[in-house]
Amino acid sequence: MYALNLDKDNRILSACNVLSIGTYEGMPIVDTLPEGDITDYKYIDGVYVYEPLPKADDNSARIAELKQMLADTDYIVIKIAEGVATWDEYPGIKEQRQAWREEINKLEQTSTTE
Amino acid sequence: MITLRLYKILKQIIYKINTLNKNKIEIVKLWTNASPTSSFAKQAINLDMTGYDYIDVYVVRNKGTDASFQSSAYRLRLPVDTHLIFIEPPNINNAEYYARGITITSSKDKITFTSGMRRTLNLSNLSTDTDEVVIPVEIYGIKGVV
Repeated sequence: MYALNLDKDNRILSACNVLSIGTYEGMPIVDTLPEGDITDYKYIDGVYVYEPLPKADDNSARIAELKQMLADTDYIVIKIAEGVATWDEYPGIKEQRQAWREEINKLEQTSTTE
Repeated sequence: MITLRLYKILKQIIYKINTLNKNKIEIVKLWTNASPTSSFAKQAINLDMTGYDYIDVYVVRNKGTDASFQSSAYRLRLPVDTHLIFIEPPNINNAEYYARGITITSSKDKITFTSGMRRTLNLSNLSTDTDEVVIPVEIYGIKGVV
C-alpha cells in the first residue's frame, strides 16, 4: 500500500510505502500507483487524473543529461570489453543504454529540424 | 587540585560510557519513495521524529532506474531541527559541468525539500532548474547518538 503526498490542487507530489510505524494523517492510502511519472497525475475523489505539467522545451538539457547517464555507465561496457564482467551481472543496462542513445538521436534530430 | 580535576574528568567519562551503554544506537526506516523514477518537486513530508537525534536521507541524482540508484546514491545526515544544503561536486563531461543540489530542512514533525537544482555550466548555457534531479529515496531516523 502507498500513501500519497498531495499538493493543494491534488497533484501528486510523491508517494511512499506505508510502514507499520508511520502515521499518514490526511494522506490518501492506495493500492496501486499510476504508470510512469506519478507527478503527471492528480488524485481526485479516488481517481487518478492524468494532467502532466508542461515541460520546458529544453532539448539540450535533456541531451546533456542522457549523455551523462551514458558516461556514468561506460565503466560497465569497459569491464565487459576487457573480459572481467558479463552483461548478466548488469541486467537491463544494455537495453537502458540503447534507449538513452535512441532518445539522444531523436532529440538531436528534433533540434536540427526546428 | 590536579587530582580533583582528574577525578571530575574521569567521572564525566564514566557517565558518558554509561549513557552510551544505556542508549543503544537505533536506525529506523521512516520513509521510502514508492516511485523513485518520478520527478520530485519541492514539498514537505510529515514524519514523527520525536526521539530521534539525526536523520539520514538517501538521494539519487536523476529520476532513474535501479542502476542509477546503485551507482549514484548519496547519504545525507543531519540533526533533527536543522537544515542541510547538499551540493554534488561538479562533474566534467564533454566540456559541460554539472552541479546538483537540494536543501533539506527537518523539524520534529516533518522534512521539507526544495526542488532539486542542477547547474549546467558550459560555454553557451549557464543553468537549468529541474525537478528531475536529486530524488530522495529513503529516510531513516537515528536514535541514541551522543
